[in-house]
Amino acid sequence: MTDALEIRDLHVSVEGKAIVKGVDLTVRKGEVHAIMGPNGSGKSTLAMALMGHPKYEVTRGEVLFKGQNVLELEPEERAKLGLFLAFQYPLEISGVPLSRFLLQALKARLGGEGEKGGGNGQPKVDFREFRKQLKESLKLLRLDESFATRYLNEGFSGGEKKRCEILQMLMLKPEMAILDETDSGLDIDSVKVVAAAVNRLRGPDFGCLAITHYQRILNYLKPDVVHVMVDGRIVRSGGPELAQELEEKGYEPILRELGLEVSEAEKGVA
Amino acid sequence: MATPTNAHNAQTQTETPRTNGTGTETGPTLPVDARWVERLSRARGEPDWLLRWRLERLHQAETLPMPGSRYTRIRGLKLHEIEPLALDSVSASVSASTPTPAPAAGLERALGERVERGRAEAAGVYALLDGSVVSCELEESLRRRGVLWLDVAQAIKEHPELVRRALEQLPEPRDRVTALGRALFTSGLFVYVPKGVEVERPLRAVYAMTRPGAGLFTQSALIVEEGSSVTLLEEHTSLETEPFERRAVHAGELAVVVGPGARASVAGVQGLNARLYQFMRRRARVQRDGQLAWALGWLGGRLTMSHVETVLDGPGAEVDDVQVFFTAGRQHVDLTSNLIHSKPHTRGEVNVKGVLKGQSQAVFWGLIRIDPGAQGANAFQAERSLLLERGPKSNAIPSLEILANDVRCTHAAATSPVDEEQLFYLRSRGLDEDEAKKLIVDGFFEPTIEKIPLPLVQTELRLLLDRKWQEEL
Ligand SMILES: Nc1ncnc2c1ncn2[C@@H]1O[C@H](COP(=O)(O)OP(=O)(O)O)[C@@H](O)[C@H]1O
Repeated sequence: MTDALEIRDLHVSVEGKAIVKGVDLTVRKGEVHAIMGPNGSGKSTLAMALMGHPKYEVTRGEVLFKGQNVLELEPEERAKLGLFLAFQYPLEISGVPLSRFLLQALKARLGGEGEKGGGNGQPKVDFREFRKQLKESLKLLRLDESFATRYLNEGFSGGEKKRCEILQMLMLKPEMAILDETDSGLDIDSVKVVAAAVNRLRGPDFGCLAITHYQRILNYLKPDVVHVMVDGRIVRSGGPELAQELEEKGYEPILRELGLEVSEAEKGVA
Repeated sequence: MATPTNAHNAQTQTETPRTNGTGTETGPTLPVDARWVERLSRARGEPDWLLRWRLERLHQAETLPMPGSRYTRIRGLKLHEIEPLALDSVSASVSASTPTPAPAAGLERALGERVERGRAEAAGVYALLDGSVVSCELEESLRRRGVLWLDVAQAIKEHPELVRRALEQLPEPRDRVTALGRALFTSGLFVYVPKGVEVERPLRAVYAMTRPGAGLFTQSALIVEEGSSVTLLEEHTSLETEPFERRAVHAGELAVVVGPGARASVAGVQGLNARLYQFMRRRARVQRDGQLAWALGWLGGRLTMSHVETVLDGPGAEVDDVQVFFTAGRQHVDLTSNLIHSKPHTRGEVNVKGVLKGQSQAVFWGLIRIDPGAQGANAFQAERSLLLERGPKSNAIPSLEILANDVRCTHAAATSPVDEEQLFYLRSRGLDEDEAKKLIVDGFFEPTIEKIPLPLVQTELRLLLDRKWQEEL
């Protein structure tokens, strides 16, 4: 039994169609892994399945985290176990101020750990500490303080939504964060801000699986391992130099090597 | 002399069957007859015109159809089985042998506590327990400035002409319950705010109905003269009684006049017993530059039919109508909001939001009428329902009658289930399904509740919605 996120021979179908076709991957705490790959290769599907979206059906394989069988847990139980997903398309929740939502999520998260609970099952959140951390996190992500009282993601720009996902990550302090294309649609300054936030959590108790289409965020994230996913499988894994290689040559050589067709879109993408 | 109920039983057996609305029913349709109404009116020492007025309404009730529509069919309720409540003093004299039983002490205490809590923030309190006035008090300073805050029986004695005018201005009844309610009303509030008086703290009326099988019929009026302002909070409650063994009825009307430049807020929070049928009609006329805000919350009752109509009757008149409902089980709400722009440069806004669980049903009828010549009118109407499960149904039937050309008119209606993606998003942050749904529901109501200009009502509604959520879990 280890503290790692262990994915073994994972197969995922969406609406009866096989999308993820046998993924093996182990991310230890303390490590940052990147998954790269062309559009449609199944990266988001993997992320959704790891978090337990009901529409994404695991047809084979297993996922363990901290020795627990993740696949038999409800999404909220996975969150309480320490998993976190930064959504590619964060949802807007009208009428729910960000701070209220975060407070409730934090209570749920602490309740799940069962250690900081204040008896009678009600987890204690130090409200002043919460306010202080929220303020700091907003600042770090260059979000105005007014975001705390704005309705969750409602009317946020694309970039603000992405940064707000990372803000939630900072506040909830997961042990394993999956970032689904958090860098897409962000300008370079925001990419740096996001990377800085992830790096802040980095340490022996935090692991990260960063899904990205582009190499540039990896300059700041400095992943330990880079994987390339094509057609539902991880086809290459390597050190940061692999990302560098993709940056220079694109996915084309890898796809050719695998005997797959190269779409116009994928040429020179990195 | 017989009790009100016995009287009706005896009568209906000996009299020839009355005609009724649909022509398909047989047997009695009404709980009482003309002689009962006569005794009621005499015992209350009412003037002749009022007795005649009552009898005419009773006569109308015999032939008018039951309220309802394609979406709302009232099946379970049998009006003739309802026992109309009379004020204690009246029923005692109507029937010396068996006076209406005094309300249970426990309930009286529960109501007393509620009144006590209300008193702290209210300038006036009116509390009615099963038709008996438990409390009717108004701050002395307001009384001195000519504000009237009277139970309708007292108003009839002290200001018969004002009451007569209010009653005679009611539109013709179009259904049996409305007509019957007018024939049999025994309580209600009569509120008058003279010119230039600002009533700062709210006036609070609590209507408690705790008796199975009873019928409460109320007539109320709120008249706000030029430049004055007032807030009226109406609460309809059954004081957390168990579901009644027998169906009960409340039919009530409120007539509001907002004078030139005056401001009025009328809030109504309904948390009645699960076997209570409520029929509410609230009608307002807003004069030049007057402002009216309705804030209505519907949580209880087996069936609720509410009719709100605002006539914007002077240039610059405005109305905001905010209504929220939360239904579960087999509850049924049928809400009408009519916005009548009869003068130019009037503004009306209707926002209705509801959450439905179980097998509950809702229907919303929203009419916007802009009369010829009401140029520059601005009308907005939105209704949204959120279905928490597969069982409930919600319908919105908007209708527009736009008879002027230079106007703005917007309306929208939507019914949707809880968004699965939102639910997953919240659950992925550690909230369980119920917590996630609750957050979505709170968020659904919140922007609408925030439109209510009365913090007290906002707080109360949030509390009641919370509590109902807990009860229905
Ligand atoms: N919710 C869904 N419903 C139907 N098809 C989906 C859904 N999610 C993903 N897919 C399909 O699965 C494939 C992989 O998509 P995705 O996992 O988003 O890839 P990536 O993240 O690598 O771009 C695509 O062909 C996509 O159309």
